[in-house]
Amino acid sequence: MINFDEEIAKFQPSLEVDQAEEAIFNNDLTDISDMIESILKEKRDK
Amino acid sequence: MNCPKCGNVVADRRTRCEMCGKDLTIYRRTSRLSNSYYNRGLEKAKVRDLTGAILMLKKSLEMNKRNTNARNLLGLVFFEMGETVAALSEWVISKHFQAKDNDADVYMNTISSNPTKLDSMNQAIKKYNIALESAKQGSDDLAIIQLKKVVNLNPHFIRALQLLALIYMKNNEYERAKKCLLRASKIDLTNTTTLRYRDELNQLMAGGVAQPTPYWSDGDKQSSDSTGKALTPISTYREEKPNVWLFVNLVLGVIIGIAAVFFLVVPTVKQNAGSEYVTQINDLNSEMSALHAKLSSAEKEADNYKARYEELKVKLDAIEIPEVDGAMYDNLIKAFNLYYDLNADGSFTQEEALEVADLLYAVKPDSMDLKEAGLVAEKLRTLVYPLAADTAHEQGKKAVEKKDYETGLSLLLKADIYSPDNASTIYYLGKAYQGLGQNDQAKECYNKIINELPNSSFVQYAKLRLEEL
Repeated sequence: MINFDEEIAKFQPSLEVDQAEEAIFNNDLTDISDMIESILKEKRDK
Repeated sequence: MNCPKCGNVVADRRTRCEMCGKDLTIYRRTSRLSNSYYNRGLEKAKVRDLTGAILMLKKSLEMNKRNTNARNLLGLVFFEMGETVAALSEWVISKHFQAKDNDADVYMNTISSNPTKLDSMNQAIKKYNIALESAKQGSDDLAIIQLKKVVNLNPHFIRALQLLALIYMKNNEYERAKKCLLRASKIDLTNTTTLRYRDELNQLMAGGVAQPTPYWSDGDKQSSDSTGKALTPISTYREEKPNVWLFVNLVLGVIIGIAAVFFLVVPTVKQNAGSEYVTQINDLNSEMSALHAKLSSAEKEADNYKARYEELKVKLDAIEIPEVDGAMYDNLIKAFNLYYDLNADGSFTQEEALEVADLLYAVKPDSMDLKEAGLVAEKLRTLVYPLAADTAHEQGKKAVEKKDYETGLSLLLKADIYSPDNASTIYYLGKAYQGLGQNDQAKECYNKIINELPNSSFVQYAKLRLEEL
């Protein structure tokens, strides 16, 4: 049996078109290659 | 492929970039993984497993953020699910990584070339946010109204459909919730939220144990066999034979219809007609009874009038209308003329008075219809009668003394008429009766003098006469 109030609380507001620019800027574009590079860099720096 | 560090084009077999010397082994491996995930995402997207496709494509982008194909496809999947801003974000980022020969240009131009469409999508997002806020505040009706508008503006907005379905379920409108969830399922087959809501809905509608709904089903209550029906072989083609029974059924139907009309409708019509006549008869009967009542009251009235008529007739008959004798007027006129002629020279003798009095005696003023004539007669009598009475008395007296009793009687009777209650007249009248042997009448006269005229001087003489009788 679902709790309707909890389910409604799970829904998040949708971004409007005006807010697309902000969403793009906040988008995290880190992939595994970047993570490996950063790990390797840390290792090198150490 | 391009070197991720310097962008130099590197052959596929090379493990190191010729330009910058970067080791490409890991990059190649992640690139292959990304492509693998992209392929899986594409397969899922083709069968409308959008949720699964998003997972795969995100994985692909985690492996290689520069995989523009995966990013473009992810944008498409977002757009199909109604997430316009997310789709535009992916396409913009894809354009950033690959400025030329990018399919994202096509997608973005398609949207931007139709400003109305973009505006309607934006309106849908705004209304969705308002609806979500209303739903969180408990204003379900307002949320439903807004969400209906959202769904009309953007029929692919899955989150709006899910929220609408949730609110319907909360308000026990299960059928409407079912429709919303079916629409959402058609867009994204394996959406977890949609499937969870459908299970919950089935449980609510069945009122029993929740039965998980397969994602391929349309929610119809079919057999619990999750494998579905087996394929049935298609039968061979056969031409249909002409069916005689069809014609027979038709004829039977017509006969039954006619019989139904005959046995059901006609009696009802007759009954209705009969009831109309009965109603008319009742109306006429009531009219007749009203007329009877009127007649009886009229008869009573007539009887009353008859009785009254009889009563009045009796009264009328009781009234004696004196007969009008025309001869009396003649006598009066004669008497008056005689009196006028005889008295013209002022000498009116006693004999003349007697003559006039005789004429006046025949006149009956009570029998005259003209009162004035009666008055004239009375007046004339007052003038003539005393003189006539004296004349008749003297003449009668002389006749009685001469023993002419008959003449004396007639004259004395006149004198009594013209001057009643004259003792002398009555006395001599008695003597006349006595002389004529009419002793009874004589006694009456003498008794009259004694009884009615006791102060008269003739009382003693009357008594003596009575003794003689």
